[in-house]
Amino acid sequence: MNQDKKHKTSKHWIFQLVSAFIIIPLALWFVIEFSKLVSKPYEEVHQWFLSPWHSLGVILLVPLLFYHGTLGIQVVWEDYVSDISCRKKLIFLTNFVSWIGSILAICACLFIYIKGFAL
Amino acid sequence: MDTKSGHYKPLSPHLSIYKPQITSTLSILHRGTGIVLFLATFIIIAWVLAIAAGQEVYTFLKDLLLNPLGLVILGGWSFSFFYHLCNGLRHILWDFGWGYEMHHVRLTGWSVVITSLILTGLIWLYGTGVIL
Repeated sequence: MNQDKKHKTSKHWIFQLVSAFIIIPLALWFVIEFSKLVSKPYEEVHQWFLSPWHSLGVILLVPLLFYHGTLGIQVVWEDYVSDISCRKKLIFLTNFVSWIGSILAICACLFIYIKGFAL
Repeated sequence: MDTKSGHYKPLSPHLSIYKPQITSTLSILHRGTGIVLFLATFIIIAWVLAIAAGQEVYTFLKDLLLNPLGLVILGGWSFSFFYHLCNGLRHILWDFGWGYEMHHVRLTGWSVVITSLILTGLIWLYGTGVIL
């Protein structure tokens, strides 16, 4: 194995580990909040989002989940898809979908926040 | 072995050949729950988008999530989360070099299964207002 590839692999592992460490407290917080909010009416959940800490939490959490998730899914593709060009396309697609998802979540949070105070 | 043609090569062992063991089963489950969690992130996005879209869209999504099928999905999601969290902590211990002894592997493995089931139960009791 050449030096380049070795660094790439250990970086993949370190980033997976570090993102996991950041996600643990954030995701625990979100799951506890979400378990209560999911059955609540619109006004209450909307009010929840108007707290800057809550929306900031979601804005940080979603991209981190997608980052950790794409690193993981990438390994799954690498393990089960032997055709290299097909594998690369699937990894690209996973990353693309994650970027779109993250951007949507961030925009939605900002939209709720700005609209909530402008009106 | 067919030495004449040299065509015979041993096939790599497939998952179906192994007897399920605590080690392999939990490893597969870690991957499976990881995939579930990746997909479930889109529920969070739908939820945030629904709030941004307004009351009608939000109520529609809420009713969808609280449908029997939706509840099964939420149940699977919550178990996946706690399992992946607990087994992830087990992975972190391994990363720091602890827990490779076979008896440790089995002990932490079963602890992960039991703890994640308990935590899943607790979050549902909390979410539905039975406790706290």
